[in-house]
Amino acid sequence: MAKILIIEDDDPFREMLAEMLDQVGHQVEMAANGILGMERFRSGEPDLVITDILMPEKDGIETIIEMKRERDSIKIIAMSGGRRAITPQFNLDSAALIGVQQTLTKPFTRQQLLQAIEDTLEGVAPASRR
Amino acid sequence: MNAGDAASPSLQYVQLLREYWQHNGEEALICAADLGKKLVHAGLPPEDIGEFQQQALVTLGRDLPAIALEEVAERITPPLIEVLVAYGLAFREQTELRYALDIEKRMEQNHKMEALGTLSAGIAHDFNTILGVILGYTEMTLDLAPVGTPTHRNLQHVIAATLRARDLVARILAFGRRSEICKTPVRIADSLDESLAMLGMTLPPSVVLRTELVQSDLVVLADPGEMQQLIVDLTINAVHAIAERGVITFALDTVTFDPATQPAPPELPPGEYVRFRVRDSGCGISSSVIDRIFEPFFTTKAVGHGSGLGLSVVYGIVQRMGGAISVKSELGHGTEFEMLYPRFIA
Repeated sequence: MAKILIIEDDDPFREMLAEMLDQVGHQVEMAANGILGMERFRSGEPDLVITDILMPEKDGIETIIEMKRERDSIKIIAMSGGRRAITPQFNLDSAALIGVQQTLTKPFTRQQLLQAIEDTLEGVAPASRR
Repeated sequence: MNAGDAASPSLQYVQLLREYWQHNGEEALICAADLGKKLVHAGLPPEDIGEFQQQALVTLGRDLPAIALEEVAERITPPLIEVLVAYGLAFREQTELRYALDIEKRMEQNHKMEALGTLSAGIAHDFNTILGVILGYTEMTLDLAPVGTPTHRNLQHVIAATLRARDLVARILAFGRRSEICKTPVRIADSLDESLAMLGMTLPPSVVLRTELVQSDLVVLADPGEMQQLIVDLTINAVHAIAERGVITFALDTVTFDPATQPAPPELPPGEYVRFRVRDSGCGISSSVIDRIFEPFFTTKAVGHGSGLGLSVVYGIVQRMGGAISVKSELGHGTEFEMLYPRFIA
């Protein structure tokens, strides 16, 4: 089982994800924004990061770029619900350009999440999961 | 101004003309012209002005049968022309005013749609996250409920409802989005064929989908996905209108607007347009709600039978294509949506 860092600004959503991953045996760490996420990333050395894209303080794209710069091999799943005139796909496409392995559009099912984690950890070819 | 007031300017005219004819009074002629100017300022509807004119002439002919005689007609001609010009001017001014108000009303509608689109897309993001929480916890709780128990079934219903809500949010986002639409030349008859083939498989046999006048070579600039969505949404709307029993007719042809012969609707420049009509034999739309049918979330359907988003999505798509949509309906006889898109010629 993997060491997973969840970066998500919505408290209930973050807690829910953590519980879901904990139940299947992953070791989970959490952060409520990109700044805290970078701290946990450095101290916790996760195998995989699951991050939201649209967040206050420091958004997901910026956080991903920074993590990739520090550790290029880090595996990342990006998730978004889309905002205003931006479709979810627009954000997730941007994430793919900076080396994100998998993308998820909220709301997603447990099956979709676990499959994305499995594919990412096993190094299955990057895909745009809708 | 009501019908009671309507008789007075007309009768005043007759009075003044009679005076001119009988006493050859120049003053009466000037008064008649002034009365015409007053009509312009009174802002009467063009229909009323036309009626006054007719009434004045009929009354004059009845009161003074002699005006039909040649020598008399010669004398009465100048004031009659005066009458015609004054009425004609009033009629034209009021028609132009009505036209301007119509444009203003449509512009206001466009702005309202845009604001609602931005707002709903903003809400959609947060809503998706909330749905994610509901879906996640429900799935985890489902594991705790033995299969076949009422708890298990109830939780499955919660999941199904959440997925339905997710689809609804996706539609809200589709309504709000603007910049990502990929416009490309689309053969509209192909979109129609594909959409009807798909709909034909899902609709009950009591719904007959019929095409007429379909010109197959007409091309418009559109997002192909949006074009299909438009056809599907309009068809589903029609299916509801006919209560799943009746005929829905699709027609596709062209129309050319030229200021001299056939003026374009206010929001469109002159030119050649592809005209797409969808007609149903259903219940019709009452005049009290017809102005509101393109508003997001406006629906006359019972709760759970429609989101009220379909026609607002259609409206948004037509706008993005640089086209126009209008609706004609008669209660008990059905409804026809007419869309005009600029024809694309490579």
